[in-house]
Amino acid sequence: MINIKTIALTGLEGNLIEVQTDITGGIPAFEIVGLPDMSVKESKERIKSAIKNSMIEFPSRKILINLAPADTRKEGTSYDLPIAVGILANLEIVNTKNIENTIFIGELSLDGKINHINGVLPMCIEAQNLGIKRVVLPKSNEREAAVVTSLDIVGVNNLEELIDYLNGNIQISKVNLDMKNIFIQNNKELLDFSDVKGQENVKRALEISAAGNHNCLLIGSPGSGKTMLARRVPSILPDLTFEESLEVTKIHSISGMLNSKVGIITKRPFRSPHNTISPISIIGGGKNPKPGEISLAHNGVLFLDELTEFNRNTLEVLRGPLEDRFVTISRLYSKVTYPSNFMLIASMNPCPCGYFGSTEKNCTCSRLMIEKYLSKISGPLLDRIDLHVEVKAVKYQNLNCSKKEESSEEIKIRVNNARMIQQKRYKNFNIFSNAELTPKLIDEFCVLNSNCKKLLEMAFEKLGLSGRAYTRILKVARTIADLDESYFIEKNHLAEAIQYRGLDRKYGDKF
Amino acid sequence: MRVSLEDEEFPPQLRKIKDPPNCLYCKGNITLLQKIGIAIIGSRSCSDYGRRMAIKFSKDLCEYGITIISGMAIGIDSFAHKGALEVGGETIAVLPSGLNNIYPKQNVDLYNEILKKNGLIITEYEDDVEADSKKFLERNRIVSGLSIGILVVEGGIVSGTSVTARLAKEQGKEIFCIPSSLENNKGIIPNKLIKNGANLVTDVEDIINKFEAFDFKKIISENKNINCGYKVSNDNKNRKNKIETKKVNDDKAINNIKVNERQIDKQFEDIYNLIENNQCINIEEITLLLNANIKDISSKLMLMELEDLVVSLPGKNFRLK
Repeated sequence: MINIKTIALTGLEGNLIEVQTDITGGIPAFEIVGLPDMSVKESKERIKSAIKNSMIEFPSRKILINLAPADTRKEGTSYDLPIAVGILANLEIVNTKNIENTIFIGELSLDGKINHINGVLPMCIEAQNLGIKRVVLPKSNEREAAVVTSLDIVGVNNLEELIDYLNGNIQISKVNLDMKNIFIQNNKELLDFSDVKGQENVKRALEISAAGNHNCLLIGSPGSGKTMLARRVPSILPDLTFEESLEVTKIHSISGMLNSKVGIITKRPFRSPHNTISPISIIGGGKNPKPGEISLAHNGVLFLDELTEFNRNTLEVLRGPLEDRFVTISRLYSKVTYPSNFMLIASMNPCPCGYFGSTEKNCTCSRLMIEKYLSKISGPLLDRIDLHVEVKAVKYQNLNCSKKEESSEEIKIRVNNARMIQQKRYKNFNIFSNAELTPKLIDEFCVLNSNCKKLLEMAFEKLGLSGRAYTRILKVARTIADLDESYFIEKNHLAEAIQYRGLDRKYGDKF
Repeated sequence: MRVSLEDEEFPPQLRKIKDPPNCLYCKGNITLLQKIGIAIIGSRSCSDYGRRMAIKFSKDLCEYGITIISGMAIGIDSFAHKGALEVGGETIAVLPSGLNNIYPKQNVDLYNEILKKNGLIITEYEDDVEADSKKFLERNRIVSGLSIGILVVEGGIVSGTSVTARLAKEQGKEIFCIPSSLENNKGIIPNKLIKNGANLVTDVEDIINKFEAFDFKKIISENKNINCGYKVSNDNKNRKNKIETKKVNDDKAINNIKVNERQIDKQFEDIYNLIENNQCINIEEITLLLNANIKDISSKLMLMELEDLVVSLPGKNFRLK
């Protein structure tokens, strides 16, 4: 009997699975036990053909495969390779000594080729934690796995090559990833804020959002440039650290969205699902839960264009993840937790016709229509969005203006600086940005002097701000102060922060 | 309370129109039915300009002791009532529905406020009747019928405003209109009415002078700056005083501006002047024209707003308060 090790994934967690192969005499048969699902059961046929087509006679005996632990469900095609190797080792076609302390993962095709599989990175990280030395996997997954530097990664093209390798006939050299280079090369953003003429107010708001990881809502008439501005947000976000990049790559790896030529994701993701998206696909789910859009946007930006057009249910499921920054999906056979620390940027029109407050065109909506339209966004969701920015279409004259626009690079320096201040300040509190401040921490770090307190009181009274605006204003004011490298929150910081609470103010008095 | 056509309390103005309601269901201060009133009408979706004008003229007319009549609809109607209530004036709301079905529902607060502040709510419909589009027009005939003249603030090309104006004309009422910018599509009706011979109004005196027979006098309670002596009801003296009052008012206005100028902080001067010259200007344009940093402009504008120097409008536009 032969024992081959492989790894199965539940969510982002890897589990060691032993593939036990036993070949005995008796009526020829091929059985797989240990709760395999259809995709695993089907592997029998693939393995038979792959072995036969690799010029090896498939044994005409009773073959029994057990996937241990036998009480968890197994799914996916990554068991093909370990089962095939188990059979070959049993037949003494490969050297049994060489398969110790090695993980095998991969899918077989009928001609013996080894195909790409999903989720290799989290598997390799688990292998590293288990103290495994070597991982044999499909050639196309090689670069992705090479990120885990302490492992011996062997990428193989087909079964014959693998047999030669295991018997010591050929050497397969390990790929070396030049991390630094990859990070530098791939960090070039194609979209830049200098492409956008004018819109200083919105750019400033997005800079604050990026600096404090605040969620942001852009409100403006059609054609005012909301989408254009939002798409440029990743270019001013602070660079991904290696740890963050690993997390992002893991999620993309299990979703099968990784580019096999690069292997690691070095840019912050920017996800913009269409407004017809269902609640399940936004938070993740399925029989074996897969990550949804919010997890794919982890450490990056989730952009919801035309927020009011989204199904209400879809928006309401965002409440929990926005607060917790992770999402737990429970199904009958599995319970999976995916990280979802994303920055939400949403855009919407101010009214059904889209031109309320615009000077270009007259709004044809009644007050009732506008109120109904705005009420599509529930209070609790609005509560989680720190900045409301009104975007106005830029007039043609301004487009011709020769004033040089600031590039994303310049804005990014300020953002990085503000983030650094925050990280230093919060290093003992297990949070990274101002957006994550809890009420207790707000009391500690967002102290207002008497002048500011008076200003805030006046603002609440005069502008009719709702109570929920209070902590939001303080958090944003804190970020503005950080951008100014000011230790205290000053009057002008606070005043600017109040400017970004448009929807909390009584819209009614503007009619 | 029910007032029928035969009752003494039935408003005399309304009795004169060709199709007066058989009875009125009233709630509130019923003595207002005997008072002289002017109707302020306009479109439901009004511009910021219309809103300000409705409030201003409503307040000004109240100072002459004139009752403000309107339909309690959203938009101009509401602002007309609100303006009157703000200065403690008298106001009558004519509903297109029964008293048990306040229409529009959003204005329940306004309804209660009118009752609380000694105003009057009337309707020709029985308690449980619900509003529909036919009743709006019927209501409008009472609004104009109760008044001695109507003031048209704003109205779009297809609106009840034009119908009310036509009804008022048929009833032989004076029609006053506030002119609007040609670019304002809510200003089409008043501008058109002016072209067809309605009275153009730039000042509340334009309305008052039209009704010399009623001899409206300015009621001054809080305004201590003005000598109260002219209250004597002598025609000549009265008119002379009126002119004086106006002069005093003008002086006062000039003083106010000076006071305002003194109050403006040095740091806000640039922005203040810019907004003053442009009437309504967007935050982007301010930044561009002053060549300043957006973060300074943004925080200064908020501080100015809190100091009541400027008002923010939808779309991050600003104008002076």
